[in-house]
Amino acid sequence: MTVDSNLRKYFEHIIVKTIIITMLSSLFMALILFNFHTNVQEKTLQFEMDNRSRAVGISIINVFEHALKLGIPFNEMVNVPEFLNNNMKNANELGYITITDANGELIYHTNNFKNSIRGSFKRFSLSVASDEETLPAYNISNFHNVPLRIKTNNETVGYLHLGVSQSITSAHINDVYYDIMTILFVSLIVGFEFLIFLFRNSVTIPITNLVNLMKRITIFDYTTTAIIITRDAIGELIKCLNEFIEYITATAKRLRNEAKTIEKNYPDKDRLLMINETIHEIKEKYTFAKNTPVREPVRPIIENLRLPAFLIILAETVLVTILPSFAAQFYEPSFIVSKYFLSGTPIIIFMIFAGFSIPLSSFISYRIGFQKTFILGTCISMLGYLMNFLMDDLSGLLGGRAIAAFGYGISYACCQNYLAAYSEKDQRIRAYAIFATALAAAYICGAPIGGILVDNIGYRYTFGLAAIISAIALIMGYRYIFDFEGYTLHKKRQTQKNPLSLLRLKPLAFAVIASGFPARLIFTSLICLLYPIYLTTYLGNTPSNTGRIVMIFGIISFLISPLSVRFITKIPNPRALLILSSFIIAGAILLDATFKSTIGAIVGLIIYAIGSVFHTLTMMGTLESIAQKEFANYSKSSILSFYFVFERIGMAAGPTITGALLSTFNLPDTLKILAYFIIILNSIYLAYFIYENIVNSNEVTKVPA
Amino acid sequence: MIKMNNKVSVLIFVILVLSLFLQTVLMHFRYHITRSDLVNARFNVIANDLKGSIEKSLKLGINLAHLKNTQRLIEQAKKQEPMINSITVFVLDQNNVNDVFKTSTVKSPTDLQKKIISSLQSSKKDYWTFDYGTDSEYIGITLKDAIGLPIGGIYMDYSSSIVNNEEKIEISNLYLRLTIMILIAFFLSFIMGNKLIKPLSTCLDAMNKNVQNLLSDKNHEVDLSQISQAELRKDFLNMYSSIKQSLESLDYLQKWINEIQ
Repeated sequence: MTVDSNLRKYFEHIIVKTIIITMLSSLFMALILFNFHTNVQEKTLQFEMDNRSRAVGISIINVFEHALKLGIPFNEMVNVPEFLNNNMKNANELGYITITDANGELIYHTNNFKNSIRGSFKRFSLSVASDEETLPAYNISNFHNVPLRIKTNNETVGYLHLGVSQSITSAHINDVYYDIMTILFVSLIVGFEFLIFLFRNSVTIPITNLVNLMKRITIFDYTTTAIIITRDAIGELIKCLNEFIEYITATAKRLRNEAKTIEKNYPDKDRLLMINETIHEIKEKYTFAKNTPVREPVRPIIENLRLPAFLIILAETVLVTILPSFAAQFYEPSFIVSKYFLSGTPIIIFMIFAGFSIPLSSFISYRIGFQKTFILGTCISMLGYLMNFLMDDLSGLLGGRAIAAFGYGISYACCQNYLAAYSEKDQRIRAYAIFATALAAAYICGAPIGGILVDNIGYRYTFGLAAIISAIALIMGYRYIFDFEGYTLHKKRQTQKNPLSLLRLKPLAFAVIASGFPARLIFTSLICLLYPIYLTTYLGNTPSNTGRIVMIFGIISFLISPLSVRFITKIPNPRALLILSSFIIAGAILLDATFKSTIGAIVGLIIYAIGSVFHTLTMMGTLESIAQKEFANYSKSSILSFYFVFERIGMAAGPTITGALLSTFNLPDTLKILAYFIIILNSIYLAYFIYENIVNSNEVTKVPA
Repeated sequence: MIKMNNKVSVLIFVILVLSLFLQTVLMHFRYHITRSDLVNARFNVIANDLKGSIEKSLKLGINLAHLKNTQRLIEQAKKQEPMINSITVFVLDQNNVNDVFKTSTVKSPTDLQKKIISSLQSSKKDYWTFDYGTDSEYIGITLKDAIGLPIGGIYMDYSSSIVNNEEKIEISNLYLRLTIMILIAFFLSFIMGNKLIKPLSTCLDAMNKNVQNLLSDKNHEVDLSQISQAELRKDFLNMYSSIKQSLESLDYLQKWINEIQ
């Protein structure tokens, strides 16, 4: 129908244009602020570093001036280079310390002084005014030189020069740049998530309702009116068209009744025939509702789940990278566990409790509905965050983590179940991509923000912020997660078989146990436990840096999830992709274990993100088709539940097993063990896949005979 | 009725402000931490200098209270850095802080002493920092005896308002720019609403008006002048003629029935 495509295209064109221009405007304004802020930071950094160098210089000058007062000649002091070298040890940003006489002639210097810059001191002493109290700093070669005056009896006898290595200053400045860029990126992503959400609910959905209504009117279908969501031009037009449908249905009904009355009382059969023919024509051409037109039923909008899901995951990801360093603060040598193990304990506890609550979530959802389940889960996790906010000790941390995990597991699984329940088979990959994108966006924003927040407001208030984010998620869940009539899971539960009975289905069992289960185990082990510990404790990165690195996982997932949906739906044998992506995941882990550097970890994380996205989406897209051929009598919810059971066991088991491995092996060895684990299971699945293909091809060749 | 272009303008404005505000708050945090790290690093140099001088004598077995030179050292250090309010050298006496030398005459309150002890004991390094009161920030360093056991420390307080005054200027500059950005965001969202959404809103209004006129007057002639897009005009015309046909068919039937009656 043209009305559908043209009108939809026209509206979509305007909406997409508006969203793009809004994002570009946001980026433009953010870049102006970025430019201003980096300038301010650079100025402050340089100013304060100069002050620090001056403080070091003054402590040296005090000794010199004391010696001068005792009458020791300025250029005949002993052990000065050793004294200067000792002072340099305490200030690692300094490249050299030199002392010149009033004419700029070099008298003393530290060991690593380069003679090539000697001439600049002479030029400096000639240019400096005698009454200038604070001497200006200037650049020489690769150093930022901070000069100070050495005086005796108010007369300048020489100058002390401290060279701050510019590479150290620029490393500080770069660190600030990275943080500000991360902030810029995070604010854009958060803005984008809210923009998409608000546009969908206030423009896209009302327009879709209008387009569908116009389409129905064009083909003379007057059975259904549309829902009015907004009170703007769209709402007014829908209202007007609804009134027309109601009017025309009522008029048609009235005329039909009048015609029936006339038929009984009027003797002229020819004239009656004319009326009957007209009524017949109207009946043929138009479709009316039997009584009054019905209101178009509210359909589940699975996209609306994205924002609440994003927020509950964000509340947790804000904490992921800071937990290892926070837990490590409580370490005492008397503890029976290692520092690594203690760092991972909050995450292990979180995963164990989330593991318990995830299956419980399905059970609760079937009984009280998705909306209430989501609210319940979010309330519990909010309590956990509040407990962490109020209690500042190890038991409070672990207790709060356990409660938060229990609630988080319920909400997280509720989102997955919601998508599974309200998406049809052909929408499944897209539906799961919505969740995957929300997950990725939360990792992009949460991980780096957590580091920055801890550096600024401390651990306690970061937990408080997580509670506030959960509260917003709760409101969003209440407003946008619905239980729809005709879609309720109560009915499905009656027909649903025990998920574990599907273990008999070999193709499905192999796919889930040998591929899906280890992939999820690796996911939680790596992202929630190993990467934060590896980067912070093993490679010595700051929490901010670790957050920025873990953010890469989110960025890659966020960018490739929508693209991979198209790719996966087009390839002929997605199961081969499942196997390939598992090997990519194993390769990424081995890369991390081999290179043992931050760069190696970044490359490994990028490769892992690609493998993980393809694996997750391919698994969701192929699950039903794997089982469809031989076992058509199983419902989609049974198949999905079967996968979710193993997925969640894997998620819970991941950090627990990894934590146990960490208490025995070092980090690179733990990574290697996990990589071998996934390689072995995936090889078994590959062997089964080849065997199955051979059997299938034999069957195909037998059929014609 | 809410005008669609105004609604979208408000929506864009809210998003832009949310994004800018988030960015500004996080940048403010980042700026604060950069600055206080560097200020602390500067005072560390002074504290470390004092520590070096005092510990040299402690290693010789001299009691801290007998180091008469210390008072001169801390007064000199205070003179060196005008931001410092006071410097105190203390000894730990069964979890109590006993001030031995100090540049101010004010006695340390008990809760400050508790804070000093908790900071000293919880710090994994020799340096420790904490806030106390509304205007003071403290930086301390642990003093160790000849066998490396903590015997006391040096703490200095500096007025955070002096640091903050400079910071406040930069922060107010940042928020001034945010305000300017918000104003730009306001105009941008207004322009976007009018340029991008107004044609759509006008088009929907025109459709609405045409349908309403048709319902009140069946002979109404369709006015497509406000519907700019050709294909959209064609689609609307299709729907419009469907409505007109339906109304005419029912009118025709009504006419026959009326005639018979």
